Amino acid sequence: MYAREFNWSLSTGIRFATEREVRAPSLVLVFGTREILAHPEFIPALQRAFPGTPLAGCSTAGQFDRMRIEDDRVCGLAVWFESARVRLATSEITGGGNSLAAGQAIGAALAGSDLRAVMVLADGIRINGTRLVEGLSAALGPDILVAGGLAGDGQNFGETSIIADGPPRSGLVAAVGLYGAALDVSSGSAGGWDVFGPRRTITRAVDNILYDLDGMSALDLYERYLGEEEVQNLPASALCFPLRIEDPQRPGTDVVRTVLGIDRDRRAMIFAGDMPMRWTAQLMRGSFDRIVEGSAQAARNACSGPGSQEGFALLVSCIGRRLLMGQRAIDEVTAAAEEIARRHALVGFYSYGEISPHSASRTLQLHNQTMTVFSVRERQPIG
Amino acid sequence: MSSAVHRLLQKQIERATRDDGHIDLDLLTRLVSDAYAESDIERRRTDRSIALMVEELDQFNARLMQVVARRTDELEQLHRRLEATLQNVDQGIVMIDPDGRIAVFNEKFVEMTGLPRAVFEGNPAFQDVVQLMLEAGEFDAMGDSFKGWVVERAARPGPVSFQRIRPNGVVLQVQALPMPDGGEVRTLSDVTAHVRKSNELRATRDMLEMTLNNVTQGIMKVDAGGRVLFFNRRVVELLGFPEGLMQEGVTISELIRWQYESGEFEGYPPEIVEQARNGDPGPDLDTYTRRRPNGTIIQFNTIRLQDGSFVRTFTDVTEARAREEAIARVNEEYRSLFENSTVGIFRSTLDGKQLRANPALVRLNGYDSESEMLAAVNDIAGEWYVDPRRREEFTEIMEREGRTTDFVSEVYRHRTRERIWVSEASWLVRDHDGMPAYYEGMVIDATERMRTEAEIAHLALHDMLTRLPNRSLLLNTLSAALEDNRRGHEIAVLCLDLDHFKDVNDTMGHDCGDILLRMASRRLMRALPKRGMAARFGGDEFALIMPDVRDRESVMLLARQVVQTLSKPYRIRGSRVYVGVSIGIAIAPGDGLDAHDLLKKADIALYRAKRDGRGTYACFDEGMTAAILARREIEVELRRAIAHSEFELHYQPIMDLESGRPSAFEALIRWQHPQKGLLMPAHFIEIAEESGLILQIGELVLRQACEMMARLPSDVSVSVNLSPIQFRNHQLAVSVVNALAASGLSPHRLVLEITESVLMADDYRTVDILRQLRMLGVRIALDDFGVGHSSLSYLQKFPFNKIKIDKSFVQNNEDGTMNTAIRRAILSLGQDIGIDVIVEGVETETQRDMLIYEGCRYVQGYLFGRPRPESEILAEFGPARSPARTINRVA
Repeated sequence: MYAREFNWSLSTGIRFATEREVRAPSLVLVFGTREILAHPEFIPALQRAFPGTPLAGCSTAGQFDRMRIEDDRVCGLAVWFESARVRLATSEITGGGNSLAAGQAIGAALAGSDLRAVMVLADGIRINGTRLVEGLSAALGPDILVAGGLAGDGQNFGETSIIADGPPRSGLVAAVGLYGAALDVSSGSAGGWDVFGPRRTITRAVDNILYDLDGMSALDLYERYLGEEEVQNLPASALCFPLRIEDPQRPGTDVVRTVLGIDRDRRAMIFAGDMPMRWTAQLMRGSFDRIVEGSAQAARNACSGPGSQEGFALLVSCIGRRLLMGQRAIDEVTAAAEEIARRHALVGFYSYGEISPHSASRTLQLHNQTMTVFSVRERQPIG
Repeated sequence: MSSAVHRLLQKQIERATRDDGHIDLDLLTRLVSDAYAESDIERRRTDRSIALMVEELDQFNARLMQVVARRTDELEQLHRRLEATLQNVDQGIVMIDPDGRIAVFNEKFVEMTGLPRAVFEGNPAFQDVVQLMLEAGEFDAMGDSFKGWVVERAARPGPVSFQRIRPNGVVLQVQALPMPDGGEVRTLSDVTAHVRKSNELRATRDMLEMTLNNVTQGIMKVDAGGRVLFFNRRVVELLGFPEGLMQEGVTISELIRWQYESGEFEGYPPEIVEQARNGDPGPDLDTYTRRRPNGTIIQFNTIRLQDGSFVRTFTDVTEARAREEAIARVNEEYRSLFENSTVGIFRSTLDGKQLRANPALVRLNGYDSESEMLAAVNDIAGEWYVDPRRREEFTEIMEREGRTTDFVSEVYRHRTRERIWVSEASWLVRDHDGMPAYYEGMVIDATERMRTEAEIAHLALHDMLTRLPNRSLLLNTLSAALEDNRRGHEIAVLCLDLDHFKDVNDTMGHDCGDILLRMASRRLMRALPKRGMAARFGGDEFALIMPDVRDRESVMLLARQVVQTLSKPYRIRGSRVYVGVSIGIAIAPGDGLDAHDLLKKADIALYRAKRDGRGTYACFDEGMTAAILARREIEVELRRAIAHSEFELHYQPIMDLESGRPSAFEALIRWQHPQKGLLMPAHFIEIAEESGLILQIGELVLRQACEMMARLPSDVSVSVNLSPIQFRNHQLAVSVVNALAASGLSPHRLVLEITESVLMADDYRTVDILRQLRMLGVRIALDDFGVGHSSLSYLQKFPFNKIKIDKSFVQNNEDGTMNTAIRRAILSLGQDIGIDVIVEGVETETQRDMLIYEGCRYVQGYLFGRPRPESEILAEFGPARSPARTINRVA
C-alpha cells in the first residue's frame, strides 16, 4: 500500500506534494474549515479526481500535515491498499439522545470477519461522544481498534459538518471500516497536561452539563482562574483549563474533559463528554513544552518508530491545545511527525473530541485535550 | 527554549514569505507581535495560576493549621486520658523502648515489681530492673529455672505470656507484646482471684465429672447440629454401646444407626424401624420410655436449651416400673378387696367422723353409696352405738392398746335405726410423727353370731333333749343359792334315776327312750316347786333343787310326789310303758355347804335307795357304809379307766395235750389302777356289771383280744369271757363283728365263753344272739360247766362248741371220787357229742397225767402257764408270721 497527502484550494485545486498513482485510490480523507468544505466547487472536484473512491472527512478547527497548520486550504490524503478493503458507513444524529444507537448502528453495519479497524468522524456539536463510543464498543467488542474524532468549527462552537461520499452535512456520523488480514493498525493518545490544585468532587451534573464542584459553582471557579480579561472569551478561554475526571472507585479510568460551552443563566458549563456524579475532578493546565512532549508520546505509542514501510497516520488533536499554544501549536505537530515514519503519509485536524482506546486500560473512550494518533500499515504479500 | 524560539521565528518567516520569495514584513511584524502577545497571555495565565495556587495553598495551609491545632488538642487530651487510664487501670503497664529502656510505666507496675519508686526514675534499662527484682527475691516463689529464664527474656524482647507468683502469694499474668517500632509493652495482671476461681472451677468440674460418672442416670449433651458434646459412662452402659462408639463429636444419627444395626429396634413398629435405619431421631419428645432388647426399660428425658442444644438423661426405670406395677397391682388388689369385701371396712377420724366406707359397710348401714353415707354420718359415738358408752370404751382400748379385736357392740343400722350387732376389728393409724391420726378397721354384722352364741350358751347349760338345765347350770345355780343363803334356809338336792329305763331303751329303741325322757321331764317340771329347778344330767339321771326348805317333810312330800307322778304309765307309740324312779336326797346345810358335795351325797342316797329296792327315795345320812361309798367310787374310777385305757389283758394258755402246744389262750382282764396297782376282775366286774359299764369294757376286751390273736399263729385261738349283761345289749353281735373286722382275725379263732347264768335268764333273745354269733363262725364255749344245777339241760338249749370244766373238778380232792366221776362223764359226753372239753385248774403233773389217762385233750392251769401280759405271750409265741389281715365280712 501507499498513501499520499494533497491540498485543495479554490485557486490551486488538488495538488499532491509528490507524484501520484494513476489508478483510483482505495480511500480519500479530507479535512478543512466548515466554510471551505461547503464550497460548491470542492466536492465535485474530488469526485472528478477520485471517481468511485470512498470519500470521508469533516470540518475542523484547523488541519495540518507534516509541515504546517492550515486554516485556508483543505488537507487530504489518498490511500491505495494492496488487498485490504474499505467500507464507508454513516448514521444520522437527530439530537444528543440517540448517540448510543448511532454508535451501535455503525458498529453493526461495519462488523465483518476480517474487520480490523474503524475510523470514526462525527458531528462535533450535536453528538454525545461518550454515548457514541459506548455504542461502538458494544457493537464491535474490544478486538476492533476504533479511533477518530469529532468535527470542529474553528473557535465558534456553532455547527460542524461531515463528508461521506457527498457534500458535507451536519448531524452525521461517518465511519470507515478497514478490512484485511494484512492490515497493521495501532493508536496512541496522550495529553501532556499537568493537574494542579485540589482534587474536587462533582457534586452536581447532568450528563455532560456540570454545575457544581465540591458544592460550589464550577463556572465561578473557572471565572476566578481565567481572570476578567479571559472571561470575556468564554467558552474558548476555558479550553486552557480542562478537567481531569476519574471514577474514584476505579483508578485508571481518568479522562480529560474540555469545555464546549457555557450557560451563564444557569451557571452551567457544557463539556465534550459526560461528567458523572461523584467522580473526582481536578483542574489541568498546560505548559508548551509538556504539551509538545505529549504529542510526541502519542505518536510514539501509535508507531513503533521510524521505519521504511509505507502507511498513513491520522492525527486528531484538540482545539484546546491549539488555542493554548497559539502560533507554537505547530511545535506539537512537528514533534509528533518526527516520531512517525517518513514514508507514512500524515494528515491531521484540530477537533472537538478525540476517540481512541485509553492508553493504559485500552478501553475505548472519548478524550479531550489530547493528541490522538491512528496508524495504518499493510504488510506486503511475500514473493 | 532558544531552539523553540528560533523554530518559531523560522515558521513565522516561512509564513511571511510570499510566493515570489519576498518577505512580507508587515505580516512578519504582526506574527511576531502576536507571538509576543500570546506569550504574554501565557505568562499572565501562568502567573495567575500560580497566584491562585498560592492562594489556595494558603487557604489549605490555614485549614491545615486549624486541623493540626485541633488534632494537637485532641492528642493532648487523649494523652491525658491515656495517662489517667494508665495510672488507674488494674494492670501494671510498662513500655520498653527499642533500646530496652523503660519509657512509660504506671504505679501499678511499680507496685507489682516490689521495687521502690525511685528505681524507675531516669528511664532505667528494663533488664536492670528485672535483675533488681531477682535480687530482692521477687521470683523466689518460682524456682531457679524460672529465675534464669526471666532474666534471659528480659534482655530479649518478643511476645511472651506467663504466670508468676509473687512472694506475697499474688498470682500475676504477664504479657509482652512487641511494638511496631521495636520495643514492647508489658502488662501485668493480678489473676489471683481468677486462678483461685479457675482452680475452684476445675475442682467443681472434676467433682461434677466424677458425679456425672457415678450417677445412676446416663447424661449426655448434644449440640444443635446433633453432635454429642459430652456424656458419662452410664450412657454407654445403659444403651449398651460398644467400646469406642460413643465419643465427643459422634452424631445422634450415627448412634441411632448403630442401634438399628445391632437390632435395638427389632419388634418396633415398621415406621420407627425405618426412621432408625435412616438415623432419624424421630419426633422431639421431651420424655418417653422404651424397653430395650435386654429387657431394661429406659426413660429418656430431654431438656432443650436456648441455643438449640439439648441435654438428655437416661434412667433405668426397670425396677421402678416393676415396683410401680407391683404397687398398682397391690393397690388394685386392695381396692378390689375394699370394694368387694363382704366385711365392712372404714376409716374414721379420732372424733368419730367417717372418712371412708366400703360398699359392704355402706350396705351394713343401710345406704346405697359411700358418699351418701359419709354425708349422713357425722358422729359415730352419738349416732351409731346403741349404748353411747361403747364409743368411750372403744377409744379407751385404742388409746391403751392401739387396736381392738372382736369389739362387739349393738349398733343402729344408721339409716333405718334398726338395731344390729357388729364386731369391730380396728386399729389406730399414726401419722409420721407418731401421733394418732385416724382409725381404720373392719366391721362385720354379728347379729347372727350373737344369736348363735346365745343359743350355744343356752345349749351349754341345757339338755338338748328335754330342754332342762344341765348339770353345769344346776351346779351353778346351786352354788349361787348356797352362796346367797345367808338366812340359813335349808336347800334340798334330789338326785333321780329312772328304774328300768335301760330296758325301755334296749327293747323299744333309743327314740322311744328319748320320748320317755321328755315326758318324764315334763312331769318333773310340773311337780317342781316355786323357785325350784330341775335338771337332766344325762341318760336317765335327773336332779332337782328345792330352795327355801321350810321343813324336811316338804322335801319328802316332793319326793313322794315325784315318785308317784313319774311312776304313772307312759303311753309311747301305742304301748304303755312303766318305769319307776329312785330318788336320793341331801339337804344343806346339814349335809354340807358345797354344791358338788351335796350332789355326791344325794347320789349316794340314790344308790342306797336303789339297793333298797327301786321306786323309793332315801335321804343321805352319815351312816351310809363306807363300802357303798367305795363301790360308788370304783364305779366313778371305772368310767375314768375306760376313758384312760387303764385296762389290759393277760393271757393263759389252753394246752393241747396231744401236740404239747397251746391251742388257745384265755383272755383275762386286769385293771392297771394308777393308785392301787394291778387289780383282778373280782374287784370290779360286779360293779361294772351293775353300772352297765361292762358293756364298754366288754367291747374293749373283745377288740384287744382279737387284735392280739391276729398277731399269733393261725392255729391258735382266743377265748373271751362274756358277761350276762352284755347279752342284754342288742349290740353284742355288732361289737363282735367290729372287733373281728378291725383285727382281721378269722372268726373261728375267737371263742366266746359264757356262764350258765347267761342262759338262766331263759331269754329267747340270748339264744338268738348266740346263734347269730355261731353263724359268723365264732365258737361258743360254756364256762364253769358242772357247777350249776342243771348244766346238762343247757347243752340241749344251745349247740356249744366247747365246754370248760370248772377247776373244782380237778382240784377238790376231798370229794375226789365224785369229782373224778363227773369229770370223766363230762369228758366222755364231750367225745360223744363232738364237743371239745377243756379242763381248768390243772396245777400238778399228777393231775395232768390223770387227765391224759382219762382222754382229756385240752387243759388249762398254772402247770401250763399263769396268765401273762400280752408282750410276754407275743415274745414266746409269735409272731411267727403275719396273719393275712383280711377283713371278714358278715353277710
